[in-house]
Amino acid sequence: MTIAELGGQIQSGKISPVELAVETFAQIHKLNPALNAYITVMESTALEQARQAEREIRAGNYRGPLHGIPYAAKDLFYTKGTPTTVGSKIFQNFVPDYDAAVIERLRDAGAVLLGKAGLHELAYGITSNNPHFGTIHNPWDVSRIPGGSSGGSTAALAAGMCAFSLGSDTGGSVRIPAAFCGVVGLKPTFGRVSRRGVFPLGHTLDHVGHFTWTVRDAAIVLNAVAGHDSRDESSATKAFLPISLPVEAKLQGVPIGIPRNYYFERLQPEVEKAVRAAVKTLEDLGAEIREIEIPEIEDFTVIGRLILMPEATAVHRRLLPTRRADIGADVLALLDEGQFILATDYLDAQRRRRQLIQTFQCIFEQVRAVVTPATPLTAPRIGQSTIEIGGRQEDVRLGSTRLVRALNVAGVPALSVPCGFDAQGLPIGLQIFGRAFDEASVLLVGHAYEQATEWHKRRPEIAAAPAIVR
Amino acid sequence: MWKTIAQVLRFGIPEQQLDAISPILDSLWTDTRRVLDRDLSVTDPAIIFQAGREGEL
Repeated sequence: MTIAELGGQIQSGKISPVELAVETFAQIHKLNPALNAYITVMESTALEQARQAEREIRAGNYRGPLHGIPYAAKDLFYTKGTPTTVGSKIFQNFVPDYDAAVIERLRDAGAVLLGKAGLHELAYGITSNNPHFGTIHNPWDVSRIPGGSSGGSTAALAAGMCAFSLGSDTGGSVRIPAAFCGVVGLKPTFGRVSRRGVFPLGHTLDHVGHFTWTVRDAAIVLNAVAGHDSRDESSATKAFLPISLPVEAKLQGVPIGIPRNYYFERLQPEVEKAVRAAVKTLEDLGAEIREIEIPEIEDFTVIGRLILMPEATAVHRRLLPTRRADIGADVLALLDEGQFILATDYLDAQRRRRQLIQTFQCIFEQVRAVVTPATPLTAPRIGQSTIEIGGRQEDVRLGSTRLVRALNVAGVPALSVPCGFDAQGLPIGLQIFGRAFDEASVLLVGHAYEQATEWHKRRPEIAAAPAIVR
Repeated sequence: MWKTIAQVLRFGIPEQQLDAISPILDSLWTDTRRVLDRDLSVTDPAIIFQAGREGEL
């Protein structure tokens, strides 16, 4: 069931938060050994939160649509008194003494934190093959990666081991795993959601995001977590108005852009076919489809790497002289590479970023949202390092991030929604992005598309057991 | 070039690992020059740390 459905049943007393938590833990105990989505399961505290929710609701103090809803948090969100490993051997015993702002807000909304989801080591990669906490498996095909870095969060959701989950997105780490695991993933505008108590990777690129089964649910979670936080220097002061999606979404006359350059080059044929079909669906819904050119979009991806690499190395530099043996080979290589970026190139990359952001804003004078594939490929096999797309061998990491990274540089809101499956039964993601701080338009387009299609109703076979959250 | 830089600046990267990352750095260097070698002197760096201001530009 979706958050919206569960919320209604919890409010009316048809489902109890305790019963929901117990059933979800049963699913976790059944499937986590195979999928490895959770690093830490917080059964006793979660059940206490569920009991409290139940007492409050029975007493007539219903807090809203997240009251009693179970969720998972990527294991880089600080949780007071509970280890926050960042997927790293080095931080395996790190126990924060405060909660991340997002955890606080969700607690205030009455949501029940089930546990901490696994991730790519230090959130610096897209496979979620973690050398310290084990490989995370994709519920649609356990021989494949769930994507990353928020792979545990999407695997847990797709397998019915939570009703929603939190992730973070520095170069695609929400949208890639959402696409690979067939769930909705939202990366809001930079600064929209507080990063207080979120272990950093790239200070000017990190975004907090979340995963749900539907776009309506994504709006529900955003309404709970968005808004200014004076304790986070990067938090936007722009007011956030709660988003309410219509029962029947209409796109009549809404201008939607389809890039003619870059985004449709070198895709797996089934990905292109699914995304083109999604565009046709939007057109059938009344949207005015306009072909657009996104100037210098290739540069965004290079700029993104030039900014992320030294920022990530700066975060972890103190570890390099003494803890090399405790860092996985792929992450160590990236941290080493970051040492070689010139300070002048980093600053010039930030200068180019400003130019590119200004160019990017012009797009939204023509259209309200832009639709592209989220990734050029479906989930690769575990251990696969290269993939052939369009007759060319491509590094799996660079290929997976090719269509998403630019939006971290631009800081605009971006959503991935399921838009089909390939011949192997693997999900395909549709990316929808919009103007900075206009999450409402992005969600509206996604919601309308979702109402017209059935992709979001499919569930992986492995999760076929009758758990309520499915 | 990368080996010399790593040695002079004492990055402490073992030779085998330097060999592995050198082609990536070569490729990134080429991309960097293509993207950044232009006059940027009158452009301020992005001020995205202050997201409120950036969003209201």
